[in-house]
Amino acid sequence: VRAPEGFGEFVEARSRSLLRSAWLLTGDWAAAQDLVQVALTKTWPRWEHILRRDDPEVYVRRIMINTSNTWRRRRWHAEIPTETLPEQATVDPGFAYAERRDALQAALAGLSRRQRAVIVLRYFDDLSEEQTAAVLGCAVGTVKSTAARSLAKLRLDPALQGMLTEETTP
Amino acid sequence: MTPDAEPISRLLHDLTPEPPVPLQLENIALRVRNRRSRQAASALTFAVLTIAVAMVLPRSLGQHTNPATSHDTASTNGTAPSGSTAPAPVCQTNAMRLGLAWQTVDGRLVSALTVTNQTGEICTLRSRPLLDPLNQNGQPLDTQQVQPVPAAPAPVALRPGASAASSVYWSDWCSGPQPGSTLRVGWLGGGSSIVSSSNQYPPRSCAKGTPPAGTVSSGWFLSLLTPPGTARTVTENETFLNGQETIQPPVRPATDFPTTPRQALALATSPLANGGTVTVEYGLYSNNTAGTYDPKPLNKTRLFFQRVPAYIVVTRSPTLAFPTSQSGPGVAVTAVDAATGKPLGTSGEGTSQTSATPTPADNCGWTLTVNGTNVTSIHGQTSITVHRGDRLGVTVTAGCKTPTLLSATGTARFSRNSDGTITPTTAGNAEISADLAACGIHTTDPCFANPATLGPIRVTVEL
Repeated sequence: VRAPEGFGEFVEARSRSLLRSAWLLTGDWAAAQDLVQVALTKTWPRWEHILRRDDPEVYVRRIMINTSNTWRRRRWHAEIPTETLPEQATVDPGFAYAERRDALQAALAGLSRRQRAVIVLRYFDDLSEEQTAAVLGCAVGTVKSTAARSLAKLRLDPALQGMLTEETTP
Repeated sequence: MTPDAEPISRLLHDLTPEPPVPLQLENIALRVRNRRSRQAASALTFAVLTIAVAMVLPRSLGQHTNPATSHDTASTNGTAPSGSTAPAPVCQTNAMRLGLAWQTVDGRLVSALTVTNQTGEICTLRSRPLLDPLNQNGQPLDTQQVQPVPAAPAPVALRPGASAASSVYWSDWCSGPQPGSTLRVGWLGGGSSIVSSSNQYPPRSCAKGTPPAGTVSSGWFLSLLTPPGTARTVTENETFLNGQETIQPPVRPATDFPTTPRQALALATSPLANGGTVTVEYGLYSNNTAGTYDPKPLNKTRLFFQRVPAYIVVTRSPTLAFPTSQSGPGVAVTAVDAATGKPLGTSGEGTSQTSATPTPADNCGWTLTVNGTNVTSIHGQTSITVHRGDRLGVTVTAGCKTPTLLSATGTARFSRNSDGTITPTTAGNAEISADLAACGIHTTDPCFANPATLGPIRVTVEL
């Protein structure tokens, strides 16, 4: 199977960013890898069509959000990904960093699916409100209100309160 | 971006790690190829079915059937011909021996779910086990199963007598499990069976936002090259595993006790590369410097892991607690290759350890700090007076460093500082309590037997 023209370059250029976003959406690297691969697999056969009509990154992120939501809706016979892995590789540079990272994941896990997606798209991927609305398929006003509510909820999270006022380098 | 969103954005960028493994275009190409194959297979199946229906329908409407033709058809669709490479059938749960022994780790139940093939034929496990906890009456509990690793590894083939294991987890239970609870275990194509834990269930554990009976999850099945054994407690000087090694794990110094209950375990080699398994054992130790404790054989707990690197969650022992007036808790973690019994790596340093049992006379508990200074022996007093701007904190005898332990109720109002202390903002009275459970401290420990060191402290705020 030969990749369509420009697809490989897109993957090479954007996969790091997509993976990190997926990590924030899913909470672990295995799920993040799977999420990005699923999104790109669905993008591959429509690549030329997407290039003509859409921003490919917006398209990929839209599939990532939708797929992530699908995973989270499944139960029992078709399960959902967890924010907390029972086992994880030890790649932490230190306990304090691991604690803060876990606290961040726990806080994100406390948000609704849409709130989490808005936080990741707006404040990690640095998309505009219009781009975020395009990814989520909703109105710009909805993005604004969801972002405001999500930020307020994160600020009230006790585990994040100390971190929001200090340096957070690993 | 609005200024109020910048701290969150900064946090997201600082704490989101780099991907450990880059994305490979080949993996996506493989998925695309598999997807196309599935689509082609679906189209072919649809076409074959359509043709079959078209051929069978006229017969069922009254056409005469030639006996010879009928026989030929049966032999073609029956058992696979000799020399066929058809995969082994899926293992059926009712023909397997299932083993489960829950242990509590960091408030979560953890076990290796072992599956042993009791049939005389080879079979395969193609999916992770699906778990459905049941109550004492056999009714399903309101649990949610989550998926730790979406990507599926290769199916596990079980020869007669061979075993495989999956790590299973059950966390945040409020209404279950209870004594008599069981677990329905199944997997795709294999039916389901009910298995009981050989261990007792611990007290309830709740977390906000989870279903009443909590969350269950499971890992993929992995072949066990050696008998899986059962997690158990071993004594300090017991010789185990290969009958040659007596492992004396080093002790992590008490002063270096991690603020997180997670103890990273870095291993130089991966026995899983050769299909092995790893036993991780851990224990909590205390250096007895004051002589107030009764020496007791060292307890270690062993867990089985099928993936390396792995980490274990170390909690304070339910039977040991350590006042900071003595040497505090130490943690030693050692990984053991289950195939050879030899240690693979360790996480601590030190050479000696002495176990100890606390007594009620040790008065484990918490005390208030005002502006960083312990206010000793104030439990049971009518009240103490604090002032606006004072920073009230907590010291826990077991050395807990969790900052946000204090809560206050009453007419006085407090604000929480970034270091976890609280500061009065309005005059009045309040009762201040410490949430020791947030430290992972079990107040049922003997040294916490004195309620005077556990209860709230009354303060009067004067402005």
